[in-house]
Amino acid sequence: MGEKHVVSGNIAAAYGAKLCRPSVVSAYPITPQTTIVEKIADFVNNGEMDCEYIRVESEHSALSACFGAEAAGVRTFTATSSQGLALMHEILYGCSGARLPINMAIVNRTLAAPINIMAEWNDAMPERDSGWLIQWCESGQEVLDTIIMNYRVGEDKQVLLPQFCCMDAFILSHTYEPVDIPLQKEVDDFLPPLELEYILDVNKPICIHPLCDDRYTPEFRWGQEKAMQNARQTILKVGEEFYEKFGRRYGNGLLEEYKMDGAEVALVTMGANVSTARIVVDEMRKRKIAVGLIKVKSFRPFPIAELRETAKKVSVIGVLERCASFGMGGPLYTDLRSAIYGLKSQPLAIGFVAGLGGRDINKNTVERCYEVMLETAKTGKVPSNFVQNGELYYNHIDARKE
Amino acid sequence: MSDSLKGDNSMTFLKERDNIKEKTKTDAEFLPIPIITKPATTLQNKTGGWRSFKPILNEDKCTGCLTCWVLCPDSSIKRVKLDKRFKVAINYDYCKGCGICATECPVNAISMEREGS
Amino acid sequence: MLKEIRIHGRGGQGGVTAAELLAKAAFKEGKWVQAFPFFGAERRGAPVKAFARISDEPILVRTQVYNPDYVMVLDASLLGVVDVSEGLKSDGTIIINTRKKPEEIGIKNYRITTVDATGIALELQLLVAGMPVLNTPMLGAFAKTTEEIKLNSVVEAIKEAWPGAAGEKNAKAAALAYERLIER
Repeated sequence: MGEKHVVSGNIAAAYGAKLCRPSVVSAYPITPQTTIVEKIADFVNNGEMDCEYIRVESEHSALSACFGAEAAGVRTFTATSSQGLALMHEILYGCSGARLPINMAIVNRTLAAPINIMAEWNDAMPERDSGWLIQWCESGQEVLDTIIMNYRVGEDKQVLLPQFCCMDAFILSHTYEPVDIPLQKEVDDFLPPLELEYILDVNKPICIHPLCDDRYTPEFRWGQEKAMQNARQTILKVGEEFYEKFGRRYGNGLLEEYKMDGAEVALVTMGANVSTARIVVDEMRKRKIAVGLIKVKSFRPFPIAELRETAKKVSVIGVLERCASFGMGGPLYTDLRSAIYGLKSQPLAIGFVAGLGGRDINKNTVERCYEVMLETAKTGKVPSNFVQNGELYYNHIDARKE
Repeated sequence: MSDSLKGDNSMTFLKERDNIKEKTKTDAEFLPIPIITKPATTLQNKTGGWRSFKPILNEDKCTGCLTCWVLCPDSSIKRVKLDKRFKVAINYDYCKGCGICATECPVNAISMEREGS
Repeated sequence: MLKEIRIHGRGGQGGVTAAELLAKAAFKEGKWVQAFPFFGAERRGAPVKAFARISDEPILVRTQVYNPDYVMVLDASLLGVVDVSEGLKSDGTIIINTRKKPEEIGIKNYRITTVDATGIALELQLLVAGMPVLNTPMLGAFAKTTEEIKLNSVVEAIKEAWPGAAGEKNAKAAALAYERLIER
């Protein structure tokens, strides 16, 4: 069994990376992920970690360095946030298109403008089409565990996709809490060394990330889609194995239902919001109010089948997210609506946007979401005047007006 | 639209695409990944076929100054070592007939002649 | 009536411009037109294709040309490298810049016309960066071969593209090619 230490989410991420024995870590600082790469620097410095630590000149280079190293056949790791992730944008597509299973920790921070270091998911959301596996975490423990599981899933021969492990800025990254840090031997048993079939080797030259045209590219893209579909199964399998080995699980790996039995309405959310929402659900249930919670852990691949199953249970489903796609609603909301489209017992879906720029999503926020949903369930209509100074607003695309 | 996409008129790239689909078998067993596993070489690409004009060397005029050898953008002029000096020879497998050698030769030892059909 | 044309050339020979001028010439005669390129490798000397569509009605289709009515070959050295007859309609025509006669071309089953556009360009000293200009004489050849556009429209389109002496020379090249076109 591992050892419990009080560490921050960032330190937990650093431990997660360390235990997975990457050969190359590329490092560029940005608040609030810097302590991840700084902790790894400590590990390297005092001999606890045997890897090539490359201090690069920008995040674009950080991911490029991982690309090059992974293409040469070694396991890599890096971390970033916000502007750093945005700067990596073109390389993200290179990694997924070239099918290099790079592992990256993302501390979700507001994208400027305005400049803001606090939590928001709008740094990772624009990358949802990038072909990376995207996993969200609600605790430091989950961060550490997810980094380990991400390597297993991403490096699987039927997958071969790079991975994000997302955590809310400061709320998780800088919050200290007890985290069980597994023993090296346990992780070695769980995660075998990386074996890629084709790697850059001067003795056997190949070309990775070649020039290509319309004769071949659609089939490569289909390969990426198929890999993403395979990842669904692999995530379930790896989640099971992780539970057997380490005694912890996060739903089925894609999604978790919390107190959904007999729920009238349910809130869907991700990340640290889930933790807070659990408390609210507990309290409301004590007051005999039938509410439930759905945690989406895997944002890509999106848990379509699971959501279709669980959405049937309620008449109103709400989505709470710390991001917006201006002009259309929140990305998690629109993805959910897509996923449950056409269900015979399709619930009314409301999209709540809150916590932009790091404003606290607290119990009041979550309660307000449930209040709106419960009123909707009672009257069959979404209450209309629903913007709270922009702090919390909702979208509801009402298809039933005709 | 009558002739479009009839079997006997299908374009090469459609054929090639089906070929690749067959070869890569896009199912769980084989994931098509954009990697070129067998390297090629530009030596295979004999660009001499591109010429419309061919450089002809007058060996008597040539002083062996090697200006053409230095300037040829395709490395299609070879140095030939004689006793105490060089001569040059043109590699017509790769020479694209750009004419830089003829233009730059200080003694006009190279002339460009129409070639090709 | 929709006619589709494919032009084969090498990068730098003006194949793309040929398609554009062809379209402009047809436009002068009241036709609806489209012209667009398709690049393989982006460099001089690499095989390039350009396409044009001429129609009496507005052209809505925006796909590649699969079955051209006419094919123009600006550089005979492409004949061994590219299948210029691919997709060509059974009653289609291939117009080739070559010193050879149509019967000497190794492509059977299609109507072939030829003209020595390179020779015309050299004769008129119609050169750009030392290379003979091939697209304008070939447009004259196109007009004579297909009768889809008149030589006069080609000449006008050329003179508008290059006002002054350059336009005159190019127009002369088109007229010469029109005259010297060889049928089988």
